[in-house]
Amino acid sequence: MKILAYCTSLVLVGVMLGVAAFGFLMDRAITATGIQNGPWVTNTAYGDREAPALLKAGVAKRGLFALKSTETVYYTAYTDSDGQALSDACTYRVTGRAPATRWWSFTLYGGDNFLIDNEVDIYSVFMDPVSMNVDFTISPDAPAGGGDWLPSKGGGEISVTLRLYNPEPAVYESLTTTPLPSIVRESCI
Amino acid sequence: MTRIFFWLLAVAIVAFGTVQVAAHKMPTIIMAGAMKKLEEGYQASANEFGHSDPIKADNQRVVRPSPDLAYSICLYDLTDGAVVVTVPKASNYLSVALYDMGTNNFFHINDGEMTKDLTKIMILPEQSASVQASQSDYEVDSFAFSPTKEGLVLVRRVMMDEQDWPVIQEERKLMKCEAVKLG
Repeated sequence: MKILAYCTSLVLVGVMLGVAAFGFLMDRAITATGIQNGPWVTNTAYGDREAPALLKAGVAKRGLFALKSTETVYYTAYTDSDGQALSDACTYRVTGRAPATRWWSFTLYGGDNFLIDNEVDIYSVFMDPVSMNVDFTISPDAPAGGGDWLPSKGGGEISVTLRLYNPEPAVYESLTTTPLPSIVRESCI
Repeated sequence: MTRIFFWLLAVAIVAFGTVQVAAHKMPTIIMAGAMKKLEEGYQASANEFGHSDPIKADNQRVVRPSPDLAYSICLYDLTDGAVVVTVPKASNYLSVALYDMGTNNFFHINDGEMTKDLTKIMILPEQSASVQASQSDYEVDSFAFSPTKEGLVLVRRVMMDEQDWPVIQEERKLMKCEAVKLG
């Protein structure tokens, strides 16, 4: 009887610890194994059959159906340029230039990894064929000064993903250093 | 003391094993759930294309969709042998990506790589020996070897603005996803 209790307890505790550890590790796999460039993180193993199992699980949960990096490079920011977690309670200005690529877009997501419901149906800012300049605001309410705006109200711990479709070879050669827009926190509620 | 040490060691081994099993199973579980949602949301049945409306907060089916893309999907099933996907060259960025049931993106091609107005991709079971015969029978441009019997064809097409929508609708009429039997 004692042996049964000994074995049962170790299996139960082991499985519970394993499930908890899996949840923790899966949620952090994207950032922990990623390539950092300022507040942006990317990974060349998205969609790859040979990617580590935990990364695959993390991507399945937070970025299902990612294209392989040979087709598209995804940079996601969970923090601003000072390393503070992005929040729907704050206003951010995103400025800079997009890397040389065929097409780019910035999309804002809520803490649940879905588009944030808003009355104006604005979820992204995408490439202006004439200019590679990036200048938009992430904030709960429309900015007083106008300009491109991504509404964040109700998103909780928000994140923003930059998609680069068919980037130039130079981008692949400098994933950690290629200039990307900065994310500056201007104010918080 | 020895008893406690072995208990802790065994707990650690069981926990490690649980992490490994969960990590390997999770993509398949999430993929199966996503396929079901997409099947309902896009009104797509096996080996037929289904198409999305412009993506907004109230019609998103899977995590982190792009609202700038028009999506088309085909849930392929290789039970009959193979599936041939036909996609037109679009007037803007378009890619065809294939995913197995483990969420692996095992094939992709974009409009810049397409040399014809209509590109045909044949999806075959991995290590299929039917390639030569298939190419002549179906005039296929590319072959994709699926690690699993079922999976997803995902077509992404950049949508610049609302004026692009009628053009996309016309392009969609040329898309086909057909099961074929190999001799």
